[in-house]
Amino acid sequence: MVKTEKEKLTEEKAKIYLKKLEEKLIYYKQNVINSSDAIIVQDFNGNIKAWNPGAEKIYGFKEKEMLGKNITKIITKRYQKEARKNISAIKKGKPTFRIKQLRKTKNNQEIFVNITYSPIYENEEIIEVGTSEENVTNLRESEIQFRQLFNNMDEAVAIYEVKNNGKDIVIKDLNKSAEELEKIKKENILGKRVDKVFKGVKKFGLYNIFKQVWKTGKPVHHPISFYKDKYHQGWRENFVFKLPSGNIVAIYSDVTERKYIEQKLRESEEKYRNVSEKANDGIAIIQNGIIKYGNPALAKIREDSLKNIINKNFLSYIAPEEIKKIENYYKKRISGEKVPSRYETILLKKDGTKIYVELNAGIINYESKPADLVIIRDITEMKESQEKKYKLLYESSADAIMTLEPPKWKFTSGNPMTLKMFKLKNEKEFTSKAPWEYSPKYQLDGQNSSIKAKQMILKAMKEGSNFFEWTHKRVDGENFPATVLLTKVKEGEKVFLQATIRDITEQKKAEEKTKEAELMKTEFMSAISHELRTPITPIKAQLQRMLATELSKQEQKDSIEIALRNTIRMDRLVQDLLEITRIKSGKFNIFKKKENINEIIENAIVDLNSFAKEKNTSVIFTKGKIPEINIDKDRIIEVIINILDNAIKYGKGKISIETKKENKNILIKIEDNGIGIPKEETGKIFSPFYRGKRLEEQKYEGTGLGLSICKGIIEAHKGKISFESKIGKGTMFTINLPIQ
Amino acid sequence: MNLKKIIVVDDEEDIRNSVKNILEDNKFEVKTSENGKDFIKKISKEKFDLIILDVLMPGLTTKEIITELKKKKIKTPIIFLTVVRLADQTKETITPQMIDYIEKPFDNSDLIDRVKKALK
Repeated sequence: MVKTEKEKLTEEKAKIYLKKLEEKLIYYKQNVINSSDAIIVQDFNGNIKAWNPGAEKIYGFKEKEMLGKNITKIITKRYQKEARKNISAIKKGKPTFRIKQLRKTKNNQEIFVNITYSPIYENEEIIEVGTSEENVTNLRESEIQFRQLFNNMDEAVAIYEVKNNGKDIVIKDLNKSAEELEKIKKENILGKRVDKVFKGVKKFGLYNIFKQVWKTGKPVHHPISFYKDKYHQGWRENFVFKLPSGNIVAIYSDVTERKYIEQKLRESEEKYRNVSEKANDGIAIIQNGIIKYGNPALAKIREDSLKNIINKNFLSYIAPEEIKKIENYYKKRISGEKVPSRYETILLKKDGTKIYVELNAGIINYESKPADLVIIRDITEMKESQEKKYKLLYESSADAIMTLEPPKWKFTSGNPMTLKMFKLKNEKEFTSKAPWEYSPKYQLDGQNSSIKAKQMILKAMKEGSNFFEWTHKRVDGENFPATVLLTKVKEGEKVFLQATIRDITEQKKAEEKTKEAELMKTEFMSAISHELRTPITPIKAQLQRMLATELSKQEQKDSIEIALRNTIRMDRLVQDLLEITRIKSGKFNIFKKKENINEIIENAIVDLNSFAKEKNTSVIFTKGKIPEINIDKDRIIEVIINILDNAIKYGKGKISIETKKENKNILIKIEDNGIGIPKEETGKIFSPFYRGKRLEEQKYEGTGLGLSICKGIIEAHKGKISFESKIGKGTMFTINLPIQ
Repeated sequence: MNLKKIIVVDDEEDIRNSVKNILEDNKFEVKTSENGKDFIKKISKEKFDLIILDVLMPGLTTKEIITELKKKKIKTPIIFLTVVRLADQTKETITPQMIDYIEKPFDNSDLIDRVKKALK
């Protein structure tokens, strides 16, 4: 049969249509085969008609295992009812829909799948159900985790959707914390514009941030931003970023309280920083030997910049000889051992010069770990002035200051006074000599100087110091008494002794003088006592006699005479005593007038004429050419008479008196040819109560105060009285009176 | 009845004589000496019942005097005349012979009492 054109066209069309269908089929088949999703076809009873490689991949069952089997093989019992429902829904004509459902694999693992149910048509009739199933387990797990996090986060999270090309920002989701923070239920605001719900977002810049993040995709972190609307006010920390989906996430928290605390901390920090910044002393916090913090004063002390100092090793700024000591202290302090918190050391400036500093250190917690807080004070000035003072002391001291070094204990240095005291020419002369070489062989207690000196040195080393008396010897051989103070000195590792030596010669002399004076006073006192009792005895005895006994007139007369005589003697004694006391206490007045000494002497000779005659004594007076001088006439007469009287008394008949002028003085010489004064008495004759007591022939009269009074009178005239004497030959007294 | 013989030794004339006066008033025979040397001379020649001796005299010291007496085996009792209690010197020379001491100035009656006591 011949086909019509129309028939031929239809056949062509059908062929093309079939080919297209075939191609489509192949295409779809490929798609089905290649799809990673499971593509399953089942009838209304759930029996599987088609099972693609994707299904095998997801469920583990091979095609031949599933064809003809029921879909319940991959459905847990729980969801079977629902599965049947879905199938019947398709059967009834429900269009394609997508649901999430739990399936189970060959290994009985439950997985989450996104199932797209589709009806399969044949001749416009639904014959089978097709499902395309996507394994979204991971996604689901992520989602669950995400949900958990989302809702449990302390921070508030809001998710916004940006619509209309950025014109609308709509609230998509809020987590629990956000709900609490905003005091709002998310159901009430989902889908609404953020600027309508949170009216402050535009005013306080948040809105712009959302837009910016959405546009640029770059996240923004706003640590502190202020937010205010009708219901809220406070400080928020915001972290805004864009999701791949295009939504904006804002993670934020209310930091008002934190900000307040931070503010307080900052204020307090500022306070301390001010203190630290403005302090004059250097402050450093040292941890593990590194300077973690330093204040401006520290930089100033070091003459360096603060940034150079931070993070440097503290010990590198300490002088090498001090490092060990500082390290030790630091270690001990950190470990809690007791160690002085204040000590001196030497710091290095940037240019290497050494300065003296005082460190005051304590342990603090810094960034949760123990650290050394050290306050550093520049004491260079103080040290310098101290050193200056010491140097001055050393140079100008009236004591000799020297140093001795072990082990031989020889001298290693000495101040200027040392040279003077020991009569040395220079310091070199005495260094490397030992103390016993400048001492006599034996000390006053008989001990050998060398042995005793070493003992004294050892004691000082043991006890830290030793103070004692010592006899030293000058270079010229002269011994002298001294006090010695040995002090132990430690300078770093070096230990030596400093010796301070004081020449106490004068002191000893004065002590002797005082002892002598004391002795003299005692002797004087007992002498006075004796002298007074002597005349009192006969006075008392005679007066008692007269009362007790019948005496004849003559006896009475004799008795009264004795009493009277001794009364006069006592009176004289008292007068002399008063005079000598006055002389000794300086309350001695002389009334000077111009007088002629020669005349005075002549008068004295006349006064004593009868006494001289009695003693068969001749007095020869050689008058010299002398001017008149200012003297107290009565007093000088007293002196002349006293000496002349003694001369007549102790002389052997010949007395010569001479006056002459010598330079600015007048000399009066009175010489006798008597027995002289024995050598041992010569020191005493001007002493009160001295009489020639040891000499048998002496019948002394007078009070014995005469010569000491004479001495006092002459000295009050600023003159001198002296004598020369030779036993058996005689004595010559010389009086010196200045011409005034 | 024999009068008791007393020798008084003191370098002070007035004291010497005053003691002599008091003793003679009380019926004692009294001789005097003004120093140790003279006293030794006198006591070597005559016998005395009592010696009254001043302790502080020029010339021979009291110690020396006592030694002399010992040498000569003179055992006559002695009363010392002292000033200001017993001087150290005197203390050194205490001998069994020293019966007593009396301080200058003294009460006459006290002196006589002691003399009488010493002569018993």
